[in-house]
Amino acid sequence: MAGDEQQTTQATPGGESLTVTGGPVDRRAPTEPGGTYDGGRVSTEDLATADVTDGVLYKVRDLEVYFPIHQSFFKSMVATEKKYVKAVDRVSLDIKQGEILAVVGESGCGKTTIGRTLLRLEEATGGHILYKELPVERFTQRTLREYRKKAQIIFQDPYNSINPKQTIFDIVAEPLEVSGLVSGEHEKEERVVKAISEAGLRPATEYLYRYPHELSGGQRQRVCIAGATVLDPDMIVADEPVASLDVSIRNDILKLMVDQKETLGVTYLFITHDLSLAWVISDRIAVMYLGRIVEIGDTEEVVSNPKHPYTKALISVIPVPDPLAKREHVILQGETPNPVDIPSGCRFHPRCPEAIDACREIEPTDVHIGGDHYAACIRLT
Amino acid sequence: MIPRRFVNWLLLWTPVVWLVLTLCTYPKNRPLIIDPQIYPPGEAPSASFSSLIGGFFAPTVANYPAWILVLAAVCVVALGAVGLVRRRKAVTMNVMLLVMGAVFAVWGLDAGGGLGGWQAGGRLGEHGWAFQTAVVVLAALCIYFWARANPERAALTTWNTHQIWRLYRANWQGMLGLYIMVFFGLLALLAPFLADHMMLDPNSQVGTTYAPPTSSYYMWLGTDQVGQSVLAEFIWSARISLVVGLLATAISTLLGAGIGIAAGFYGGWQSEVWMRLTDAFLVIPWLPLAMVLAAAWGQNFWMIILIIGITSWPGTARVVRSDTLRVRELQFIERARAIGSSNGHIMTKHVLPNVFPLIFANTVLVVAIAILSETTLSFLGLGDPLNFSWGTMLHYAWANGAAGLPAWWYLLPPGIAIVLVVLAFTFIGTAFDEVLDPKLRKREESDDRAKKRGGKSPEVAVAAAGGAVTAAGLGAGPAAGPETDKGGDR
Amino acid sequence: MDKRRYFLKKIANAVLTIVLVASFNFALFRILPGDPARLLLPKGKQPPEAVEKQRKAFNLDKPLWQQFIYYWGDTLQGEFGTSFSEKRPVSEVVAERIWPTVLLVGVGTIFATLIGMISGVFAGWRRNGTFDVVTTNLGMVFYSMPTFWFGLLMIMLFATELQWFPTGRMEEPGADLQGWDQIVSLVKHLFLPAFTFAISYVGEYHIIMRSSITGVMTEDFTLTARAKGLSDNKVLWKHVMPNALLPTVTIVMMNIGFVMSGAILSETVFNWPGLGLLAYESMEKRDYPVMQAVFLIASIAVILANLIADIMYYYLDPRVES
Ligand SMILES: Nc1ncnc2c1ncn2[C@@H]1O[C@H](COP(=O)(O)OP(=O)(O)OP(=O)(O)O)[C@@H](O)[C@H]1O
Ligand code: SF4
Ligand SMILES: [Mg+2]
Repeated sequence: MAGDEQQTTQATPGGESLTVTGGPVDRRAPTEPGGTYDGGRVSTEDLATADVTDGVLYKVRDLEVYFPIHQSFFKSMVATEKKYVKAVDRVSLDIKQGEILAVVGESGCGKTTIGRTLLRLEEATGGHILYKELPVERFTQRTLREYRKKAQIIFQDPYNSINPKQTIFDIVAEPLEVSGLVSGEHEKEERVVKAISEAGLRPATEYLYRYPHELSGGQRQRVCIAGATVLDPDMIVADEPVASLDVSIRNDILKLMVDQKETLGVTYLFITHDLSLAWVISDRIAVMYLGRIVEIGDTEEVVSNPKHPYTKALISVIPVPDPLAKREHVILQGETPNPVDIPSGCRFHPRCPEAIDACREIEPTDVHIGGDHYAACIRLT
Repeated sequence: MIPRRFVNWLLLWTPVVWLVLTLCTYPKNRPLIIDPQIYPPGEAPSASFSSLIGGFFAPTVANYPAWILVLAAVCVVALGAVGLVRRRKAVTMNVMLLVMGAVFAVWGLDAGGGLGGWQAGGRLGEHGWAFQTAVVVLAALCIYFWARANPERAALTTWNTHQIWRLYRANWQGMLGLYIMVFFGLLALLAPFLADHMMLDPNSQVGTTYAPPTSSYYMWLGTDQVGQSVLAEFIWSARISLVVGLLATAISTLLGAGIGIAAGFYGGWQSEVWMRLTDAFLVIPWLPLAMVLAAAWGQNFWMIILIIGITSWPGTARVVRSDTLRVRELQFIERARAIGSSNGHIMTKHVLPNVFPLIFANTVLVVAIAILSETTLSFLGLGDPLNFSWGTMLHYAWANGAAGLPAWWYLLPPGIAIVLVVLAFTFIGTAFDEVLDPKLRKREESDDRAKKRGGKSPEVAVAAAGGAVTAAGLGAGPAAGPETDKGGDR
Repeated sequence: MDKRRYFLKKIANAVLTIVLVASFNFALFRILPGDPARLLLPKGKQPPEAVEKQRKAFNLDKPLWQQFIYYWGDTLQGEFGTSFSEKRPVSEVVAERIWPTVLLVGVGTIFATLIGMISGVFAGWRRNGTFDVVTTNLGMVFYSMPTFWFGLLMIMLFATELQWFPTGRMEEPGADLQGWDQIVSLVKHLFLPAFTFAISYVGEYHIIMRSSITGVMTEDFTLTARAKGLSDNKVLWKHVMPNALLPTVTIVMMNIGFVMSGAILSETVFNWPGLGLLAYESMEKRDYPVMQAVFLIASIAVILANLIADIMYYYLDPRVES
């Protein structure tokens, strides 16, 4: 990304206040309204005229997604406070246009929830998501429908994420049909064929009138990718797109995504629990732990110079090609705590190998390491 | 290229559909067997070839009410117009649809009595047969041109249908059911040829009271309490029993599938409301309810259909709902949401195709229930007094002490016919359930004990209809299938 | 889920459904075409004073919501008005018809359950054997058969032709039998209707039992038991039966609720003086007060049977307790 864009993201290294912590970004919410947006509900015109000004496609600020826990009627009467699963807990981050940002973390840390909230498949309970400076949570239903042409999702499981009763053609054409973007079947067919061949299924006409069950897992995931790219979106959330695929075809799919980033100019939010995958594919990495981003930065920087103990632990277990390279394996003790009762102070302290007493009380804030690199650990200050 | 098989089907089914439609409204008095002794002097119809053929051009053929025709015209024109506006590939087909709409419109105009005193309920047109023929031919052409424009889809459809048929054919119970159905279907359609409708007139005795069968055609099944031909009653009853069964099923399935999908698809209070409604309807024993309704609303053909339709939907709703709940959780629904599809779109394009096999199999089973229900209501004397059905025959037999004679020729035929037809629909429904549900197919295959080809599992009938088949079959009303039911509860 | 909460939930559900159904009953007899006051009077001559009186008696002159309250008051007291064909309170008419129905249904259900389950077990145990093919297809036929037609066939065969049993009623008209003779006569009268009733359910029970036996037999624990070398008999009675019984018992219980419909048909054919025949007679005579009462009783029977089925399920199903 161009150098001048880094200004915005570096605006407040370390965070300007101690009460709220988040990602290493400027949290002064809606900066300048984009286009005709005047601060109320976001209309379709606002969306049509909005543009990326500083190279940042999404600005996530203090995002909170809490799921209420269902309690029995009687219990909820006597309970003093409602309990929540804090799936995403005050997360701030920027997604730059045209990058692949990987979100890495253990199972249940809230990765998927972030992705789904970006697309408003889940409603945020607090904070903002700005898409081209427009607050996503204030989109009207009609705006939302327009927005959904711009942001797509690819799911982990290519077996469940396409309708077994539809042909490949129908699956890929569906976004076009729903959005009403094309006039006439001939144009539709052209675009579907284009998307399918771009996704690496060639010749596309071979595949059009087949059913998903006739395809292999990798081919299905390509169909999903074609379905996501057919609308020329700005953003694709890829939720563990290769996790359920055979190792041998993972690389092909990853390569396809990198290619498409370059040729189509899409931005990817790449969700994975596998740091080595993130390393291969992403421009930047955000490491998540229990609903919070603990370290974020350029991929090479984070991998070669991890600052947060959690990141270090993750990196220490990546298999390396050079067996002579000496490394200390950090094996984390215990299991991920329940996101309902988040430990006080630093939420990582019960498992942190470097924890000190203060970790129990003080909640760490982001510390600027250099460049785009931030980590949230009190031992770094 | 259009598959050869597709064209063959079209060539085969177009005349069949035309014939079926025409026979439904064929004049009622063209019997093939004339016994001059039982007709009043000079009134015996002629059984000549020209009389038979002449029937196809009779004014009664295809004399539908004008409003239905106009409605059809509007629908067809809308379909064609949307296709043209959306620039679908099959341009010729859309043009054909517009032409068909025009034919419907003229037909409706003619039926309503012309431009002058047009009446919505009119059935005055004398040339329905010509319009009907034109419409059937145009429909076939539409399908042909659609296939010409979308050869890949035509190939796919052909292949799918052929697969299903191949699997179905291997199921001997399904085939047996189909044969029985074809037999009774032909009996109903060919009724005007097989027995003169005049024979149902209370004044047209063919013998003495409760005369046992003899070799004379109309006496094959003896006579009833007033000396009428039981054979003629039996043949014409097939029509009413089948038609009531099919139409009531249509109502029941529309209600049940609609409510089931809505209850399963929407969460929260909407689902709760629909489910409470279904539950309340499920516990209401249908026979007492239907008796109350029939006693109060009067006893005619349409009321009976309506009553059976609205008392038999909860079983379907329940089954459809539980399947919708399963489908709703699948990820492609989420994907559809993510691309901005509306709820209506998701329900029709994603949920419906995936629950359709179940709905289809269930529908066939509901036909069995509906026919039994009609029989039961008619037996209790709540049937349409103007039309004979197998249930009505049994009502008269019972009310006039046929069992005490015993006049077996009056009691046995309608009962056996009902059992056969109900069995046939149950077999067909079960077969479709197996053919259309890949999971069940696999279970059959892996079940090493079921070595027989196309093995059978009658329990599917019970499970699929949510126990409704059974319950109604025994006059007990739609009950919930406890297996699906209880499983979902915890 | 703990036991108390489970039961409470089920009971609350049942009560709610009863309230719903009773309200439906109220609505049903008011949405029917015609003046409810007239509906509640015998057909034919309806002098205006009588209609007025009837209207007063049933509070039909009050606004609808008040009628609703009165209806509930009456219903809770078992007050359904006066049967106009018998000129007696409906509750009295209904009360004397309950026992014959209970007798018929009870005996019929016991027959049906025993025959259906036992044949189902053997059919399921040797699936696709001769016994299975014969009984299961026979079960399908029974299951597709109109109850009343089978009843008529029974009359034709056993009452008219063979004269083993009387054609109907509960006792010979005029005969005043005592002691043993009375019992013999009752049994003779009961046999055909109870048998007809039973046959109408046998097919279903057979098929369900058979299918749950087959289901259980493919489960792991059965295979393990067999692999351990237990004898077939032991496996069947110790492992398969307890697990397969569950769905069948539940269905039987739920069906007991629906006996009303079965009872209407076999009682009508055999002139058995129970609730079913009462339902038919009241319908013939358009005796709406009686119809209303029978309808409500029939619905409540279903709800209670469902409740009992749920409670039995709790005790029978090992999964619920864990
Ligand atoms: N709809 C929901 N209702 C309640 N809780 C939810 C919901 N969705 C997610 N959660 C909870 O939020 C937390 C984060 O879930 P999320 O799916 O985002 O994790 P994840 O990082 O994607 O994990 P994984 O790697 O297993 O997919 C989990 O504890 C999960 O149980
Ligand atoms: S703040 Fe303390 S517990 Fe948290 S990561 Fe840093 S050292 Fe570990
Ligand atoms: Mg996830």
